Amino acid sequence: MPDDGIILGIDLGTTFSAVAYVDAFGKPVVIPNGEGQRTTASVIHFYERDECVVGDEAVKMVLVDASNVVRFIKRHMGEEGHTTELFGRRYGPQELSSFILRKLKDDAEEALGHPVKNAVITVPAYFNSAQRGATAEAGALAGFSGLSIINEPTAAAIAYGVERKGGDRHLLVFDLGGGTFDVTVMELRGTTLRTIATDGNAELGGKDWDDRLLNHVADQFVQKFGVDPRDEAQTHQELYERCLHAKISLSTKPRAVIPVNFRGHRTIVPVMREEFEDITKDLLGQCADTCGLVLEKAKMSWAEIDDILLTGGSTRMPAVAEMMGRLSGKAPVVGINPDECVALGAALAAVLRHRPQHLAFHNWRSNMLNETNEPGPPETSAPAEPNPGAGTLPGLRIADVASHTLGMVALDVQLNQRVVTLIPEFTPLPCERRGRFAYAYDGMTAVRVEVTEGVGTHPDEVTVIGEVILDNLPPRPRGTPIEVVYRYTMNQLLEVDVTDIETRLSRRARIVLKGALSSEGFDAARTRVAAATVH
Amino acid sequence: MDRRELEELDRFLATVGQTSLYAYYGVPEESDTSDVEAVIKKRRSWAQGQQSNPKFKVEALFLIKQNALIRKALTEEPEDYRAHTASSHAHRNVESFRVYIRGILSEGEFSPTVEKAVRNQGRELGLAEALVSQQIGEALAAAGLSRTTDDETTPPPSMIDFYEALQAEPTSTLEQLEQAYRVRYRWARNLNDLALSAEMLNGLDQAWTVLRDPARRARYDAQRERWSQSGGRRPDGSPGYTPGPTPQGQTAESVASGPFLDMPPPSLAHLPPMPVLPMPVPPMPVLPMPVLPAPVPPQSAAPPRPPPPPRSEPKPLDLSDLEPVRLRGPKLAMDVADTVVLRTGEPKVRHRLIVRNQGDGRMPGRVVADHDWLEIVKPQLDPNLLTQVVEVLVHADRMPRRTASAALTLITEHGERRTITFKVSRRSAVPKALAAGALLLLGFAALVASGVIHGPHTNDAVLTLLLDPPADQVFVNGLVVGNGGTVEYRATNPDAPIRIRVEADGFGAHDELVQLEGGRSIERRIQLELTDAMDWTPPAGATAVALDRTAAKVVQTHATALAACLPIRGAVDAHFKAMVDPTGIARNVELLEPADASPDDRRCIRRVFRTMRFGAVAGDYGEVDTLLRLTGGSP
Repeated sequence: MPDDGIILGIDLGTTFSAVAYVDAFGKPVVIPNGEGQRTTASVIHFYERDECVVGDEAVKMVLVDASNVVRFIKRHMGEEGHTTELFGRRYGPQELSSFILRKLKDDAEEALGHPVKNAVITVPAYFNSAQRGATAEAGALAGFSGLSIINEPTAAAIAYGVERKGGDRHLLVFDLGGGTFDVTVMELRGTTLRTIATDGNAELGGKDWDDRLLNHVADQFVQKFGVDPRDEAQTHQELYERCLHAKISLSTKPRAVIPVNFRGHRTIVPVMREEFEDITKDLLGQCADTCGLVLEKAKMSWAEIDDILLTGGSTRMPAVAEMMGRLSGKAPVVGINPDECVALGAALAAVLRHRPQHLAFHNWRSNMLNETNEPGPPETSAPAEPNPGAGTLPGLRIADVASHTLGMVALDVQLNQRVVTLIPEFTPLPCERRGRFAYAYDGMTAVRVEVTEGVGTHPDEVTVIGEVILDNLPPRPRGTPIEVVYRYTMNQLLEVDVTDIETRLSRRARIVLKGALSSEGFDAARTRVAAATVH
Repeated sequence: MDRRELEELDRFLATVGQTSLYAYYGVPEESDTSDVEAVIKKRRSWAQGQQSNPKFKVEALFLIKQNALIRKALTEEPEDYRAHTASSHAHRNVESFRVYIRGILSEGEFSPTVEKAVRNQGRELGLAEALVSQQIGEALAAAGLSRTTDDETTPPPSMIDFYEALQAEPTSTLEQLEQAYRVRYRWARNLNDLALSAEMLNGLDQAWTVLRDPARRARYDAQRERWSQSGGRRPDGSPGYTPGPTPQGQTAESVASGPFLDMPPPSLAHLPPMPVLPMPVPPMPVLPMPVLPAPVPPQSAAPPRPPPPPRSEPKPLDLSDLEPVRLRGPKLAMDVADTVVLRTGEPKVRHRLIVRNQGDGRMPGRVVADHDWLEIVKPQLDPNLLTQVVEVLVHADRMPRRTASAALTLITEHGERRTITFKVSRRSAVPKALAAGALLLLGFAALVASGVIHGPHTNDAVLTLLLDPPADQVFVNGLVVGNGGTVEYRATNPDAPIRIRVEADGFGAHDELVQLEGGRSIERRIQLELTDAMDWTPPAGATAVALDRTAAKVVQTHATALAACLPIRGAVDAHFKAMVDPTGIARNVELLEPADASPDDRRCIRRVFRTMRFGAVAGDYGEVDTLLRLTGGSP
């Protein structure tokens, strides 16, 4: 990352996005968008070829022009071959995301009064390499030249300032957003922040709560008048918005009312908070379930969790905090707006990583030295000597881990295909793993190693992210040993070496991510995104 | 557990092709709770990684969202769930038993020895004694036979009057009956006692299944007539309308409708688990199907080859001895039922399945099995063969239990997938006399197994879509069901119309509402329209890049499709020119040779070009100029 100017922290969410930076006093601040809102809806409306509007205006167009509105594009990141056609032009998920990022970037530049070139973009901890690659590409398409990607729960942990407390602590980050839900257990050991386990549901979020409320209200209307307001798209959407606002009100008030008008019938449906919590009880149950699973994966109990952090707008619902309190026996940490904390954390992380001279870094460092029992880092190491490696800092270290299991396809004794795991998920990086294999047939002169990502034993269950072919061998007898080495570096790059041990012939490959645009395609897309008008 | 929850689980099981959660998780019903917990957890964490995998997304999301429900079914209230699966098993078993008796009776004799064997079969299927007797009585009446010796040992069977069950007159029209069925159905559904409600619904379903079908209704009416003519007594001397066991503590209304229960309710929950359909078949490694001369080379003589079979460039097929038909791509077909039931005394049985490629083009694919006792001799399909034999070794001696099932799946690279369930039991030989019944039962078992979740009758509707061009994605009611040139969709609930959507890159999407009919197969040809006319003039000042040999190869791989567009006899040199936009999509296609091609032929050529994928172009646009020798028709 070039050492000039400020770095934006961007929370690129499924339903809402936010952007923040660290000001001259070392304080992370949210940058409001052009309309003055602190978060921007991740919705794009195309009103003409290459002309689009992002944010609230686009949300309104869902009513009028649904076919030209793009929502939930984050769910398709890294999906190979996913395209959306708008005004006769096909857009991949990267390009569409880049329109959102461009809107955030343009608005931030306007607010700050100068161009911004650098950003840290957050992704969910469960994103695989293709999804991360696609996100990075979206950033590049939007015109960021210096980019890095960090995990959302890591950013949230940094925003909450847990690093100041020192000692060995375990954190549970509960992230319930508009369309996704995930739970991550992290460990702060000394000055190292490490992800231990994560789990989630890619299709559970505030929207499910809204839908429940909507159906509840609509059912009452049907009972009363015999007509269903959901039958008409426009009324449906209006009612949806009213329910959304009622849900937000119910977070702070015990009662909300939802007016419904349809085909000349009108009524006002009052909803009590208890009633709302009752009809959405099972959704919360799913969340509790996932928490249990993550703890089990981390081999920990609730008693061992020191802090619970709630992020994502949907955690504003009092039932969430209440449930977490009941499960864990401790109150969740409060103090930061859950909508903004990931963006704030990303901005802070950006400074900690890439701007060791920044004031924020000094603030943080002096706090750390005062409050931890750990011996501080040697005086000489910072701040004069910024460590260029991503994730390494003189003091706080964000321990990068392999976000997904990596393995390869091999044949078993019955010559059926099996996936062999080489690097399990959450292995701290960098790491290197070796596997010994043998030729399966007599007279083989070539061998192909398919690199897979994901947990599973059958090739269908995992994603093949690349392959290495070792060929031009002299004919090899069955059983001749081969060695495969996976080297996972700090910058999320995988190097694969395949070596025939006897001849020492070997091939190396750096994995090219699937779903990423080819370089020609990238340039074409870059030109298009730059030429498009984004409001 | 309530009915909605059980239905939810059944729907899920139908999408993954399993009969019960126990089968899905591969655990025996009698397993410890802790074992069951362990497999649920393992599968749940598998699901976490599959959420972004389009292939398993639906399955994974269900496992994640309904984790609590699954745990409730298997660990918290397993009795409820087992009763539910047992009742659907029992239903199937009654049907199987009926077919079995019919097979026996086709021999024309019903001696005490045969009856003993039949009763044994009934016991093996886990049916209650009274029910077995009733079924025998009905079958005898239907076949117009009587026992060759006295039947005093037979307890008086209970009897079902379907009209009474529906509270309708025997003279009612079909509409009246349907009305009556719906009224009774709503009443039964709202009973407070859920177990009773389920039984009532089963009984109603059974009555309605028979009465809705005019042929079956006529048979039933005739049978009923005979009973009433014999003075309310059936040919075997038992009383005609004997009320079934009355459930305890019911209202007067439900007692009145008691008799139609065809199974004594108390026995339902105590039925032994029946994971397979055991049947008396002599040790039988083969299925009733033709075994063609195996085109598979003998395994031992297989030439050494590396595990990655070299991906040869698809060669243009020689069309000289084929009809010039529009290409559809490969299509997988198999001459076998979805379920293969084997009973064997041998430790190892060889079984053969015939796999055919009914479409055009190569069909690479593979065969996998989910249990290691089902060994696949050659796990790869030979892509070049139109008919081939997949050989399977069933290692009965390696099965974990006496009876077990395993799934064999064929997956082709063009996206088709077929699963065959092997239900194998280790057995000793049985009298040959029962083989006729067994064979009928075998055929029936296969039929039932394909619709297992949906009660005793198979009512699936099959929709086959023939798509031009091969689709990137085919949706049914918003869910992806397949891709490629041929997509088959099996609807287990064909009453509601389904919304299909076909999408192919470069072509306009096709939306349609299709009404299916239970038990019917529908074939539908869909031709997608081009999204644009493909006329394109490059903007002023744009620079063209000549595309190199890779582009020519792309065209070459579509040679067969291109040849099919032209009415070629013998070989013809074709000359194509096309423009490719920066994203790699053909925009402007010209056919310079043969010059006499008709406008229709040219349109067809354009469509084929639109399905080609050229790499991204470095300049403003690319130009392809290629000569290709096409062969087709007969010279």
